[in-house]
Amino acid sequence: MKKTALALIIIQSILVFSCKKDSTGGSVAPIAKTITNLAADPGTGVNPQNGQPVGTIERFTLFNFSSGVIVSNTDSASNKWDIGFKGTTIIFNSGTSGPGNAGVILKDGVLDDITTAPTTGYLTDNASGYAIPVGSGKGWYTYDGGAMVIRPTAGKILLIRTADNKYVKMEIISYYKDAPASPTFMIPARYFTFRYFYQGDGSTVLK
Amino acid sequence: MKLSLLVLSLLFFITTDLHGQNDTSMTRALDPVFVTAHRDGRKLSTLSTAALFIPQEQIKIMGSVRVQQILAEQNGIQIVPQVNGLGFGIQLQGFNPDYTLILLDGEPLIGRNTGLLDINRLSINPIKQIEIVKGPSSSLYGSEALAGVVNIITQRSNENQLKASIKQSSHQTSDISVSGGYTHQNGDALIQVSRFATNGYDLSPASYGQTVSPHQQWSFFGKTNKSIGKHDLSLSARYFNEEQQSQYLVNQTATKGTGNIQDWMINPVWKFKMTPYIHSTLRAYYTQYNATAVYLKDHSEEVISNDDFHQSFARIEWNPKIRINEYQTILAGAGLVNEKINTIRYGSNEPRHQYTQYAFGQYTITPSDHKELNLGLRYDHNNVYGGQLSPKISFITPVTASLLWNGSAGMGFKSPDFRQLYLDFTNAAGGGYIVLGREVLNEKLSSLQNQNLIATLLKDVSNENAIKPERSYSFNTAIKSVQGQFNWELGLFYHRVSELIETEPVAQLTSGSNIYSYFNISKVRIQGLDAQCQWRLNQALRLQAGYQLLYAHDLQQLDLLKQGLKFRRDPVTLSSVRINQADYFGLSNRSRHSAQIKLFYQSQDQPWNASVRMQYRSRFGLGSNSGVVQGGEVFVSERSGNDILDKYDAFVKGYALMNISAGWTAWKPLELQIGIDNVWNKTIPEALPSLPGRIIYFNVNYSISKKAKHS
Repeated sequence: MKKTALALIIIQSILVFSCKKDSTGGSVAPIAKTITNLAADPGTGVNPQNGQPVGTIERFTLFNFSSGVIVSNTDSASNKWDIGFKGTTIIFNSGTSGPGNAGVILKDGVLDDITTAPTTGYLTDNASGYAIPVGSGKGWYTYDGGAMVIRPTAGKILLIRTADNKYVKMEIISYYKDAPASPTFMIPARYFTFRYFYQGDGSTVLK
Repeated sequence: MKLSLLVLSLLFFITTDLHGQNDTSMTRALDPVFVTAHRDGRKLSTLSTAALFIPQEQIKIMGSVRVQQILAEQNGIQIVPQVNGLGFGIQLQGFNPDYTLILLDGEPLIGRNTGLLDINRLSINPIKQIEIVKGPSSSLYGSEALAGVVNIITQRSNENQLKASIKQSSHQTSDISVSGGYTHQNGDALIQVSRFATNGYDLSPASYGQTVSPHQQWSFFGKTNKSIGKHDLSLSARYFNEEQQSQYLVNQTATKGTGNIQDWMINPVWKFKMTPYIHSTLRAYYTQYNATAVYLKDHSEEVISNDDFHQSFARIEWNPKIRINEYQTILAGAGLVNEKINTIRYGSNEPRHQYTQYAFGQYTITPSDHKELNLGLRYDHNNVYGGQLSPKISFITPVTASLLWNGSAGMGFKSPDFRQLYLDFTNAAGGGYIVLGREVLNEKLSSLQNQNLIATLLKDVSNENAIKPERSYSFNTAIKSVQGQFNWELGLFYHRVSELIETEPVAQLTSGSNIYSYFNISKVRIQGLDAQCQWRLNQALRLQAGYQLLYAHDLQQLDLLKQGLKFRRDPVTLSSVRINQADYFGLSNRSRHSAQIKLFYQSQDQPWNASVRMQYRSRFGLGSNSGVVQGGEVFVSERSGNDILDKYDAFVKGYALMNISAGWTAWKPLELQIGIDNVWNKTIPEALPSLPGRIIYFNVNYSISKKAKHS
């Protein structure tokens, strides 16, 4: 009996352990992922006169961290999404943007160095502005007026609480299609590439 | 032998008899008097501040006709593009162009359209010498003299003369100048007319428009002096007109435009030697700068853009000098300035004024020949930003029999310019963002708020004080040798500049675009070393060499680096990585090393002269504001997404240039010169539009003169 119990415990722990290792496993497993070319209302083209996008539909692209997929806009009033993108504007599912409990902390650092999520201090979208302020140098990007290019500011890490109170760390890598190392204004913009780590077990452990 | 005599003969004994004015040039070469550092004549050898002196003989042998070209070859000076791409200016001791005051005969040149004065407007023909003071000189000159002062001093007629010169060079560039001088016992007069025309050049032929557009310039200059007893009266006047035909791509639309620049000035001066010990100078100065430009859609009459800019500057100054005794002098001054701008760039054509009242004093004690101490103080009061106090102290003293040590410490300031105060600009084509000058910000902001056009306020500006001038304090010190065939100078400089004005977003419009305004934001530290030497190889050969080491850093960025809060993007993974302080290269467009070496040949016995001059500049970065390069790709250093130039960014490679010239006096009044600038045909179109390729030129000078009786 004792042996069986021990064996069961061992098997169970192996299972738990392997579950943690296996990112495609159950819902409690952490996920480390890179999302490429998430279209954030890119429009139908670019105005050759001024490089501004044309044909935009002024709609946020909603995204869920645990599934790693885009959520339909018909679900905007649900907890199914965590974060939304439209051009350089980023929203979170809470406050004035949605019914969830999402929030964000902008932190200067390196993604791999951050191993714990804070439990407080998350900002939400509200009437006086977005949780991530808009404008060059204010939030996640810097606008280079000379090259007319948006660059994600190096070292800006987004610590995120999801709509259902899980923790995520995330870094935006590029705003241009196929994430070129040196983008120019001629490359289609409003395509996000980002890396993130999702802790599904509800703990603050981000590694 | 007098020490100073020896030094000067070594440094500047480049005599010429090409004009039959052997006596005058020799006298001057033996004893050059430098006036800009203390607004009073000083021997160059015993100057207490860091300085550069370019005599007429050297300008001539260099075959240059443009002030910009002459300055480009001097130690510690680089030609850099203006922030907005409109023209070029000089970088002195690592400062941007608008931090160096540029004077013509001691009076400021205006037309710093958007912060820069296009020194290409000056043709050099009547120039006697160019004096450059390195280090802040606000204690004597007020605003703008943070990096230093360039004073272009025109020739005064010293004989009856008639001169004509023609220079023809590549790109169908011609410079024709005629001048006449008249000298009488108690007075003289000089008049000069010159015309410059060029087809410009194009470094990127594949794209629309030229790098430098064709332009034609006319300039008229006149100057007269008259002595009546104890009174010296002088009057000078200048008129300049430039027409430019350019082609630009405005938002991908081909446009054709014509630009016109006119400036003129008048400058009467009355000197009165009240007693042998008290001299009084009263000077008035009025200058006006007008620039207009119209751009039409190519092949149509549709006006794309229209620009109109008028600036005037009026000044009256009284300047007494009191010699207390053989050793002590006091120089004082008080003046009034009225500056006015009206331009459609500021929303309405309503004129904007700045009034400044100022007073300064300078006490000099010279206990012995090579010892001097100067104490200076100036107070400026301006209707916009209030008062500014600018002190300066400088000294020189011998340390050994063959070495002199000098040093200076001073403060400089730069007034916020009109654009930073009054601009009202909406970039409709570039996304509808708005830039507002600080003096009009609150008013415009509340009007936009009333129209419900403001989505969010990004910065609370209601309690912001008025914008302040940019301030600096600086130290310069040097050791110079004064002995032998070979002599040298080794100097150090340190500048700390604060309250630098930059744009920051203040609000977001409902359209999503931002409203920007100007604020006192950054702090910068510029420091370095400069060294130069002159070697007299024999009677006719002179070798000059110079080197500058430069470090220019943004202090706020340095702080962030120290705290480990600066990052870069790995070029492969594009993930953020922390960067070290040592990886920070510094401010854009500053080369760590620059150097030049020049060889001059000029003999008194031979009708020949020649020069070989080389300049080197080490690698440098260009920021996003490095300027719009007409018709081509712009080089941008930024790779690592962190606002600073670090070693992982892209750099413009270091480069060297060589210029050569040779002159021959065919017979007495006729002199021929041939030369090649940029022999190796170096160009970097995307980064250095100011650098045309190889230029070959040919000069013909003809001058006849008759010595005036008294000289």
